[in-house]
Amino acid sequence: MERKVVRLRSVAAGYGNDPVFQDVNLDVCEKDFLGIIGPNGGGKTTLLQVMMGLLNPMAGSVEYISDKEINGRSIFGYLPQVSRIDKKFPITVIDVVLSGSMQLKPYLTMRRKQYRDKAEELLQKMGLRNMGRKMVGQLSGGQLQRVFLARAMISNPMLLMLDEPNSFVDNNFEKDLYDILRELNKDTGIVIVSHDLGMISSYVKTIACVNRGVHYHPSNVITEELLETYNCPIDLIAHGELPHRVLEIHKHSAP
Amino acid sequence: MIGILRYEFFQHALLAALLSSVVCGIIGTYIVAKRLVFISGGITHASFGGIGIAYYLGINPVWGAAMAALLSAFGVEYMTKKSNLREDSAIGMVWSLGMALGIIFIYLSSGYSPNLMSYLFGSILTVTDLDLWMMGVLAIVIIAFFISAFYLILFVAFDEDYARTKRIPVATLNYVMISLVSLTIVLNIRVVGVILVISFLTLPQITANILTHDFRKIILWSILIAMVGSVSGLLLSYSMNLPSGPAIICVFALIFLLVKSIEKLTGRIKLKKALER
Repeated sequence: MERKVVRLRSVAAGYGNDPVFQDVNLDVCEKDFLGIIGPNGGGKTTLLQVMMGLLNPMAGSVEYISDKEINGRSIFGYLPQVSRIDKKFPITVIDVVLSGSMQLKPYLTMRRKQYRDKAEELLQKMGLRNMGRKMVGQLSGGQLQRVFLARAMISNPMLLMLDEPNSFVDNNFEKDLYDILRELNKDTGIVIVSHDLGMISSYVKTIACVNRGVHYHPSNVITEELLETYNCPIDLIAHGELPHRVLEIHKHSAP
Repeated sequence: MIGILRYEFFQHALLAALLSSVVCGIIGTYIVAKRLVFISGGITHASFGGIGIAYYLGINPVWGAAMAALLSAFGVEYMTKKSNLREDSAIGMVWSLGMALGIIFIYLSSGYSPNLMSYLFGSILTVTDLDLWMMGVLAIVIIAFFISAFYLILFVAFDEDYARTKRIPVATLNYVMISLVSLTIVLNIRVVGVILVISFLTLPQITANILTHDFRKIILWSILIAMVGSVSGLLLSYSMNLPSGPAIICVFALIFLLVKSIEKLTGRIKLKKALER
């Protein structure tokens, strides 16, 4: 039985007095690979932020796995949208990666050589060798996103939370990114937000459609009925020997 | 010129300039990196209200300024978070309200207030032992805090959301930081005055930022530039009989322009060489 890392119960969330979605029940388990999809403005990022405790729910509860059960791992590794970051902030790439290991005893923690070595190793894995001394402002959007991925991975989190990781990543790295994620998924849960499942459709195990409401699909196969009910803006997907997308038999109606 | 060093008031002024350089070098780097220049301006001008009220009540203006600075800093934070007011609008409010209250209360205080100008433009030549002690203690607190929690400060300033996913008490840390910013401002009003203190917190830092982009090195360069600038500004004001605060700020601006032009020049030479190749 896989352990539940985050449990959302009857959660409503939004900004001001306007809930983006209500009555959401969702569990994320330790080896899930959950794709959160939906149109822009539908509440995908809001759902991610509620899960991580960055936004307090208006109603309902968000519960986490207890500290005892995670053996010193952190619960979340977060890859935010690159546009949320101040690119002119004076901080080096290696420090950004190291910030992923931050704890309340930062000074003692950061001095440990093991984190420095791990940070260098992760940068190498991201194809950013010898970039550690550069400033974040000197990197391209795609490179910065890889730095954030390294930061999210350094604390060996239970869940990796990715907000639109494919929006900036160049095509060369996109394939590598998904290979890294698939490898990580052996012992790390992954939650990935995207408005375009595109290539990741063959990697995710489950899907949550977010469009002013949340509908959880416990598998990666979606029936036409669900599409109609929830107006999910995606193609049907399936897993197979080769990554591919499948559309179930459906009537074409004039738009 | 060397003779001036024998006077106690001038020794005090030099010490004040050096201590200001240290605290402003550190706190100013944080302010510039985190884009807190405008809120710092708001806190500075709001503290003038506290100075006026303290004057009226006959207590040491430093306490009034400190109270007003902390209240306005927390007030802006509170208004922005709780009442949906946009931050820059809230700052605009405390900024002008502070100045208005300050001038009204100084006007209401009996008699002519010769110190009004000294609070607006600073009077480093009249710093007291108490001023120096307070600045010294603040410098020690800030240095100790930055050494022990440097990475925490840096990481939270860079990405608050990420820090919160790591369960760092971001709000508490921000309150501590804005308190240190407020106290730095209040104690430096004595040196360069309400209207000029913001340049002590920004000019050396943006000059340092031309030379390096590393947070740690910006701090060290800012302190050095502020020390050189404030001491030469002080000597300049003595030899040319100018007001000291404005003289210091003008020297800061000159250093900035000098470094910026050198950067432009070397950049152009480098580009030319690269194109010739």
